[in-house]
Amino acid sequence: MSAGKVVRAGQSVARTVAPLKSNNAAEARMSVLQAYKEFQRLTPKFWWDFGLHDMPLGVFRAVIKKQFTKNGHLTDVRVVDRLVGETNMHMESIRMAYYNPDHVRNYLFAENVEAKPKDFLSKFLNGKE
Amino acid sequence: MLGSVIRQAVSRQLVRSSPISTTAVVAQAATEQKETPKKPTIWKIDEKKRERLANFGKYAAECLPKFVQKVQFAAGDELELLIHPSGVVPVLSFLKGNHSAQFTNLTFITGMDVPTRKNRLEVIYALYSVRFNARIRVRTYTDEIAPIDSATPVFKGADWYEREVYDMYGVWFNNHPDLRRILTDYGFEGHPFRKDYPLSGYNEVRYDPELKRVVYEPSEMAQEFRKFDLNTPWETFPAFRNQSITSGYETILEVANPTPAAPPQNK
Repeated sequence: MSAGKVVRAGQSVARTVAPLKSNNAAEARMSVLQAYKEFQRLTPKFWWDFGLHDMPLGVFRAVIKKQFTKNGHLTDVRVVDRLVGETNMHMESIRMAYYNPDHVRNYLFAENVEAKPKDFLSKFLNGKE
Repeated sequence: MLGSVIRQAVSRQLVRSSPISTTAVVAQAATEQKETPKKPTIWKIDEKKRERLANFGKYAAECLPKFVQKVQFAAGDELELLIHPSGVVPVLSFLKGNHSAQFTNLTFITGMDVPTRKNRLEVIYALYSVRFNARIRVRTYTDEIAPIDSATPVFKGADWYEREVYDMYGVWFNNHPDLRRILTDYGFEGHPFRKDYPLSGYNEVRYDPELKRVVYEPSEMAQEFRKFDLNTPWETFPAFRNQSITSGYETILEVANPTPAAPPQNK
């Protein structure tokens, strides 16, 4: 617009971006803690309604906690906000029983599924194919 | 159908009332053929309407200088507004509420993934004006994380379309009332319409008789992936060999240096 000399020092490193919900890391952290507390309040009903009482409630609480702690390395506020939003939607789906027990089990215990044998010999020993 | 029946009846009457002379009948048949030319089955573009739409596009860009970056016709008579992602709600409410446009009908919202772009995801809103029988598309862009404001305050019907875009492309819509997956299964992983989503998906599902439940497992190919060359040996459009796909677009207005609008502040 102005006819003055424009000197560009280079691309600015910090980009201004539109926030999802939180404006800074502290707010994001608070929203995570809030979601976590809400989830733990929901847990006994969740545990009972979805037939997960083959494990003690304490163990199940730890499983829920692990779902939160496994994302502990994330620092981008927007990614954290998004995960919190998704968690809220999960809680809604649990409350409204949109999820079936199978969905929940597969989501929470995905890593317990035994990895399929990859190479020929172990496939052969496993008795498949 | 009804029109053709009436026309037949009328022509029969004409034939009956005409004098009995072969030449006259032949002449009449010739005129009849002229009267009912075959309707073209393609959409006929009304040039005047197109011009008025182009003018409206310029007007919209003047009214919303902060958001509109480009006005163009991609094809036919459907105007396109390319906007900054922060301007979704203002632009849509302008188009809906402006009395000389009245784009009151939300036809669809969809996404597009172009991984080579800096902002790889695009969200497209198609609107229709019932009053003027005109269509407009609003296109905006985002990347994998950056949110877009939900259009639900303007169009109630945007709810499920945005859920669809979220499900298929992973675009996050702020202020959406119920942003859950809509097409894929509960607990689904990934966003299938992204270009980097594998054709076989991430998980496969089977019933396990021992566990007596459905289990998800990482999908595994029974055979190693083979790449077939399925392209035709012939060049499909040699006339357009050196033309870009956008070369047919007609740009109405382009903001040379679109000033980046300030990111929206949280209320």
